Amino acid sequence: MASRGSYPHPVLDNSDDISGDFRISSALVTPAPDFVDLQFDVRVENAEFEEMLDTGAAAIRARWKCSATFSSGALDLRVAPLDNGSLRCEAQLDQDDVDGRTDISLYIVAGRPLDLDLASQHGDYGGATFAVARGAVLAHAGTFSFDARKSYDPMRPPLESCFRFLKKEGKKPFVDIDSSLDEHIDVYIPEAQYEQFTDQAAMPEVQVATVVLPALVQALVDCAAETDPDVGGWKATLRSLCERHSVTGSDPLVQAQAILGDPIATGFNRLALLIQDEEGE
Amino acid sequence: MKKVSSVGRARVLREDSTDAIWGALQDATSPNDFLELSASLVRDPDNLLELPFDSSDLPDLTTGPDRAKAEIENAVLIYEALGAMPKVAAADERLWTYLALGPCRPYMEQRWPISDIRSWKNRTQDRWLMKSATYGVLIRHGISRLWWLADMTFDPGLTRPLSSESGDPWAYLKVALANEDRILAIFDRDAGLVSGIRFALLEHCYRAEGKATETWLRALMKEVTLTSGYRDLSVLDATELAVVLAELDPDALTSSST
Repeated sequence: MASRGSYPHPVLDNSDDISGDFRISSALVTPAPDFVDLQFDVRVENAEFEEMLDTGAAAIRARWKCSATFSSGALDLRVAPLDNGSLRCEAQLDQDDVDGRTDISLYIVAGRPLDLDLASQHGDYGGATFAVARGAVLAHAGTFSFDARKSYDPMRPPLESCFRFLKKEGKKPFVDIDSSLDEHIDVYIPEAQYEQFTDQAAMPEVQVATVVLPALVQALVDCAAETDPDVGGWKATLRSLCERHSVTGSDPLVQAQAILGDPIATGFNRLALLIQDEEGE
Repeated sequence: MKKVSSVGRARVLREDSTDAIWGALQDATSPNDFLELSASLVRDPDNLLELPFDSSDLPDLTTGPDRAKAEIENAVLIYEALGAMPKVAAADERLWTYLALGPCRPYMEQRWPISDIRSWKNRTQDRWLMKSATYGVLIRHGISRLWWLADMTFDPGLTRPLSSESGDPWAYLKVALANEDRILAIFDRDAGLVSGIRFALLEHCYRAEGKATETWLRALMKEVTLTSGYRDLSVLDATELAVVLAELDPDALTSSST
């Protein structure tokens, strides 16, 4: 069996303790003014676990943790089955409770004390039976993170408040933006890339390097063309961000990289880590 | 008990001013150098932003020979003055840096003095300033820890056993601050982030009375951390948690192993 953390009983995760699969896919994080909307799909591929979930012997549990706000808790999940056999999970987090990196971990836990004797447990366990207590972790699908960075004062406006990412109608290629609105910029992403974009919610570095960076460069170009010194909305936010990063008057590409915190290097570093992880498996 | 005076409306430092204060600390050759420079930065209204919510005038914080008693009073006072802020606002490093260097400076100079210690820069970083908030940082900073400890132990509805028995919404705060060891042992751990577990741990400490020594608590928290690795204790109610903690109590484990 693969070695990992020490559980006193077999657990369905990415080890071979128990045959089958329990994983998260398509995590989508949508910040709104008062809440962060979370949506992700979960796949449970193990008949014994499906039965435990159906009978209430076990339950899906999603916990969140935000180190910056000293807060953690369990998500109040709304779970609905999808046609493809996955479960669609939806929940909300209060914006007042999260800031910066927030981790979401997904488990299946025992809903009551159980004598666990699974046909799907690894052969090395033989016919062993494990007495597990209520709350015992029976399956772990992993953890995904998102950056809830924001601020409540106008001196540190959040960049994400400038953009709205939308699915582009029709078959025309390429991402384009509409900067004619005062409050925010609409970024239109072709349908196929939009799905890929939302699929990468757990890897914001990829979203930033591929979509946000070029959109921000274009927005900064449009912002520079504005001659009125007393603007509001997204233009005021971008001007403020440029001041904060001491790049007022620099080229838009330099400004965008400063505001986003060197997104190209960050994106490549993330890719390198991914490749390293895959090679390690 | 000595009162230290500080009255004023809560504000936060601007981000660039916070950076300037960190720079001042790096450059300072003595505590007095740093305190003088930081005081001038904090006094300049151009370096400050008003909090976006109402707060009362800041209280006089106290120090005295009975440190625990004074800290309990301080925690309640600062919490009542600032109110139940949104967590995001209460995790803002600029707020706590401003309070420590500005209105609460007289208290800080007595409770967390930097003038007479060799590692004064380390203490300044830990207790006076804040660069980026994590729970380990928030629970160490001289002022933020008072607010956070109050917030995380307050039971206004008297719904939990200790507060209900005593009729005191601050009963759990008093247990926490009765012994400084409890603060890092409980609040600087993942388990301490979960309110049910946190209240259960404090209650367990209270009921353990004299045996709740630093060694005992360290051993208990080791068991709680190990158990949390394979069991989600947050699904358990208060009664179930009390049973689990009784089982994990170092004394119970010792007697069961003999």
